[in-house]
Formats: sequence, structure tokens, C-alpha cells
Amino acid sequence: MVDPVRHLNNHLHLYRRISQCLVMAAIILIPVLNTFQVNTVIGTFYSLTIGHLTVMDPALLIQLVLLTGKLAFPWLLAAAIPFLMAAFLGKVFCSWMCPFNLLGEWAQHLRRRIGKPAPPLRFFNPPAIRYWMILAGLFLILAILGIPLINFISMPGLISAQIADLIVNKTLGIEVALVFIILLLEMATRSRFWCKYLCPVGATLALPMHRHTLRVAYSPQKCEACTVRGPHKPCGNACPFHLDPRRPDIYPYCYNCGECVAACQQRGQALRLTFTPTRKIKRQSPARIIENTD
Amino acid sequence: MILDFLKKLAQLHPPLRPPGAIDEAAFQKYCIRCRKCAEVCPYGSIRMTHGEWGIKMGTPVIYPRQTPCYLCMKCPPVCPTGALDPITDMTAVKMGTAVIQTESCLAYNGVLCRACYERCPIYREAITLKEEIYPVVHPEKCVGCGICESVCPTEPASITVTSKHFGAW
Repeated sequence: MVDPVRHLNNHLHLYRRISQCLVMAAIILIPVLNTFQVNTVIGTFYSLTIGHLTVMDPALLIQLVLLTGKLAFPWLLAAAIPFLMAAFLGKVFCSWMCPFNLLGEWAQHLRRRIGKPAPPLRFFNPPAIRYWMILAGLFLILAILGIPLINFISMPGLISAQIADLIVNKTLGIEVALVFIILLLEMATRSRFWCKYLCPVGATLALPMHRHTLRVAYSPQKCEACTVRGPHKPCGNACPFHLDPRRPDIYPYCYNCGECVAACQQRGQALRLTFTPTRKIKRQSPARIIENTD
Repeated sequence: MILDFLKKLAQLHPPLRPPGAIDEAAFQKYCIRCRKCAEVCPYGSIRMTHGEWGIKMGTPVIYPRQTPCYLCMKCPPVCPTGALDPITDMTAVKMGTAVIQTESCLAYNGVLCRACYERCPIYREAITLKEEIYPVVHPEKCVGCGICESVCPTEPASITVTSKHFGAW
């Protein structure tokens, strides 16, 4: 008998890649089907209609409200689906579906193979306020200038719309250069800074997170089984954002990709994905971590 | 040469918005660039603008000389935000108005041509023939679909559609 949770934890990376690649395939398949007049699924990551169900990026809902000063019930319904998903599962859209994150992760792996091997980066959990200030700043710029900023900088939207345009009209806009510029900058700085700090789509999905949202939980007792000593633990090394998953303050940055959980699975299994709020550990861990990392 | 260029510039019309488009300033704010209108269009009439359009990038446009709107009315209902009013009656559409250049129009120059008249979807209402020969556009009936512009045999077209948002572009 295989324990399903254990099985999932062992194969988190594989399942996530399958999910990401299926989404990538869908981005290509939807416009191809559209050209054959199969319109069951239409749209892009800005807004998608599946049959009679319309889904909209919640960041675009905020943009619409700020730009038009109105709030229509169908918009609320359309944005509620990804918003509720984020309330249950956290920013899994980013880690399991977003096409830009897949490109970013591959670029990160490529960067590790080319050039001089860099010293391992220090783990760093930035203060949450920084994340919220950037999101608020973007919406402030949007409201002041009155421009649909989210449309221009939503990477999943840009990528899906440009791929559709390439397939249907065989044209590509210069705005697709933004995707490559950000990818190259991320490679140059060895930091997934776009997804970690700047992306308004991900940050809006972090808004509904609460105590019972799926989260990475840490048990310090089990961590002692980990034979890797020193500051560069396998869990933190596996994190695409260089967060330290042993601290409770990885949110709102962490997008529940589960790479740290998978890395820990072969060690002490101190990290796990859970819906249960673990307040006890929350109080214990900071003191322990400080002596471990620094 | 400069005069030629200015003439060309004067003839340059902004592209049309899909049927049901609300007024241009509001359209900018309501349109979330989701491409659904373009994806349901069976004729590929709706194109998306690109980066060179500045903040209008990603919005839907129709270039009638390339592919006009055939008024199938599939796009207005799929708009998720109301940037396109969900109208289904093609006579209620107002994308623009066709204008005939009588200097180059074949019918006005002694050649029998009824291309625009015969292909107009608002048949015998938006374009009528004066004295059975000369096509005349009736702006209050014309929906601005651009089919006339696409079938006009002269190059450049002697009948062109001016977007109703002309001043706003």
C-alpha cells in the first residue's frame, strides 16, 4: 500500500512539471482549435471562457474597478474562481500553471549550468510589507495614469496572447520582448525577482491567503535528522526564490511549488504541505532557525 | 512628393472596432485584451494591435480592405467586460460610415460597376443606386462593416469606411 500523500511529496516536481507543460500545451492548442472554429474554450490568461463559464484574472478585476469606477456582477463571478482557488491553495496558479514561471525556472536551471559556478545564495525571507507595497504602488500608478497596466505586465497574459496571435495571424508584437528582457535580467541577477516581488497577478492571488490556506509547515524536531549542516540546507537550495522554508515568514512570497518539501522528503521529512494552521511551531521556529542559519 | 504624402495621410483611416464597441475612451478602459472576440471570429477579421500602438496595444481592430466584418454577430456576446455591447441585431451595429470617392469610383467614371451595392449586407438600404448607375451611401443605415471597401475593384478602394471613433483615435 502506497501512502498517497507520501507518493505525491516524492513526485511533487514531476507532477508540477506535467501540470505546467499541459498548460503550455493548452496555450498552443486553444488558438489552434479556434482556427478550426472549435470555440468551447476561448481566451487567454487575461480571461478565459470554458463553455459558459468565464474566468478572469482577479488583478484585472481590480484594474477594471480602478479604471472604470464600476463593478459589474459578472466580473465578480469571473474573478471569484481564481480568487477562491488561491484562498484554498495559495499561489498555486503561479507555481503549477503560469507559463512565465515555467520559462523562468528553466532559465534558472540553464543559468546554473552556464558560466562560472556561483557561490550559493543566502536564503532570505523579505518582509511581507515590501510585497504589498509594490502591489499597491502598481495599482496606484495604474489609477493615476488611467492606463491598463496589468494587461501590459501580466506575463501569463502576454505570453498566451502572443502565442495565440502567432498561431492565428502569424504576427508577433514587440511587447513580447518584455518577456525576454525579464527572463534575461532574471538570469543575469540569478534571482527570480519578477515572480518573487513584482508580478501583480501573483500578488493579487496572495491577497485571499489566510490561516487555513495550503502552506508549507515545518517541524524542527524532524529537521535534526537532516545530515546537511551549515547554512545551505537542501530545502532552501531547492527554493526557486531562495526563501528559507524553515521559517514561518515565507508568505506571501512562497507560491507552494513544493520543491522544498520534495527536497526534504529524502531527509528528515520536516517540511510538508498542510491545510492545518500550525501555530505551535510558528512560535517555536524563529529562535531555532537563527542559530541554524546565521 | 510632400503633397502626395499628405494626400496619403489624409486618406489614412483609423481601423474599425468590432461591432458593438462602446466609445473609444471608455473602450480603452473596459477592454482587457483577452482576445476572445478575435478567437470567435470565423473570418479572422478581428486583429489585435501590437506594441507600436502604445496603450492601445492588444485591442481588437478590423482592417476592412484586408478582411471586412461579415456581421455574424458572434463577437459582442463573448466580451467579458462590456467593452463590446452584446448586441445581436446586425442593423444595430455602428462601426463607422462608408464614404465614396467619386473621382475614382468606376460607376462615376463611365464604367458599369455595382460591386459595393450588390455586396452590401444592408441590401438596398445602406447603398442605393441613383439613376440605376451611381452608388450612394446612406449614413444613417450604413453599419460600417467594410464589405464594400473590401470588394471595391479600384486600387486604392474608392469606397472606404471611416471609424465612428475617428476623432478619438
